[in-house]
Amino acid sequence: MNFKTIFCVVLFAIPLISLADSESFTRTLKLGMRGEDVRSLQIFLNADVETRVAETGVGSNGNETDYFGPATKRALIKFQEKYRAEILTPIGLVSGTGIFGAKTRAKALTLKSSSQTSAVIQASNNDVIVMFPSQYSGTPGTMITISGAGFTDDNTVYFGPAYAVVKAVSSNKQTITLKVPSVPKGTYSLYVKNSQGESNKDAFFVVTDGVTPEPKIESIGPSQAARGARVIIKGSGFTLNGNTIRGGTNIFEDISSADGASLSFVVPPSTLTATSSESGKKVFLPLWVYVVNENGVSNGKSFDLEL
Amino acid sequence: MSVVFAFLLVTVSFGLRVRSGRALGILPFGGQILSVQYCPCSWNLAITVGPPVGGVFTYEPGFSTVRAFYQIFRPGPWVLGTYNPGGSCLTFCSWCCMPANFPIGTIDVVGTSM
Repeated sequence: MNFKTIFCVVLFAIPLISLADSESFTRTLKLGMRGEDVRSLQIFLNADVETRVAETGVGSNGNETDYFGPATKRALIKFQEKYRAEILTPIGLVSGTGIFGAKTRAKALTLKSSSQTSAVIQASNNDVIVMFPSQYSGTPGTMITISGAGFTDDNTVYFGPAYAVVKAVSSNKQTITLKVPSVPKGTYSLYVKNSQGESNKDAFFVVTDGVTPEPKIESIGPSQAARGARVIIKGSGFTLNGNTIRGGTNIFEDISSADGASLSFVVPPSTLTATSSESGKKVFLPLWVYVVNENGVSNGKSFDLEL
Repeated sequence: MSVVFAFLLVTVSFGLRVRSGRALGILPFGGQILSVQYCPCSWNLAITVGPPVGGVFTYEPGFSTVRAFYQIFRPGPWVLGTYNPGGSCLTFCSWCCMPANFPIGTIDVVGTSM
């Protein structure tokens, strides 16, 4: 093999090597561990109906966490046993271990990269999907439009399992416009059922009473923050407990506000870290922050995250 | 000599970035964000979107427009938008930039869930 042949082999192998290195699955994961790679693993497992971490609630599609708990372990065992011939058999095992080791990571990366390089992913025509409502809070009677896919001319729109709007029509299969029903004040999971099935349940809507002021963000600082920085939100209508901060790169739940006028969170140091060295050039991403609590949903304010 | 030329050609091509005109953003996409990856050598992000119309798309600071509710930098939110074909996500090697992902397009405009 001459020099030119060796050079060409190395040259064309570089992109493949770099792709493998760039994936987030680089360490062994097991019960009790935390990290963004755990969240990535849960998202990966939830993409297959046979290996979902949970059907509803914590760990379900759209509610993935950074904690490797028993549900993640069970889902991972299902994954390992689904691909037993490639993961378990070569190392002499029959049952899944629930440990995200080298063999399991290799199979996951193979599946993940094959889905990433496919041109466009197409879902089944029968999938019912709720993407988002036109607004996330309002009093009963407020008109809202839900965007998504798979809607029919006879949908039932649920506000939690106990309340529903029946015979909600979609003229274009992609939107449903309806009035918020007369239900008690509170936060409801928003989902749709029709003849084609049931949608995802990660959308939400806060029904307000029109009397209690909704949270409001007056300012957010600093205006530019790096990873690991504490961000302070000033405003009004924050509750003593139970505020959720939707912070651009993370969701922070059950945050307290002693004075009802300030909240804070720390940008996780692991946010959008790269696998290689820093470029030296500063990149700023505008992160929009919202506060959600039992009284409603705030306006959005942004700060710039420095990468 | 030809080896040196090939070396330069490939090295330079890894650094090229497709920046299509804004008016071309006519291809729709939409789905749930599955992962977000920072590309330190191309100073952009590669965003993987799941079904119904997904793929890997780049977010270009200063070019891609994000609309309410602006949640495009984490896995989980749903997105609907348009993109232009082409894009790159590059990471460093010791002596050059090289692909870290293979986007099918660059986001033109996108709206998101909260």
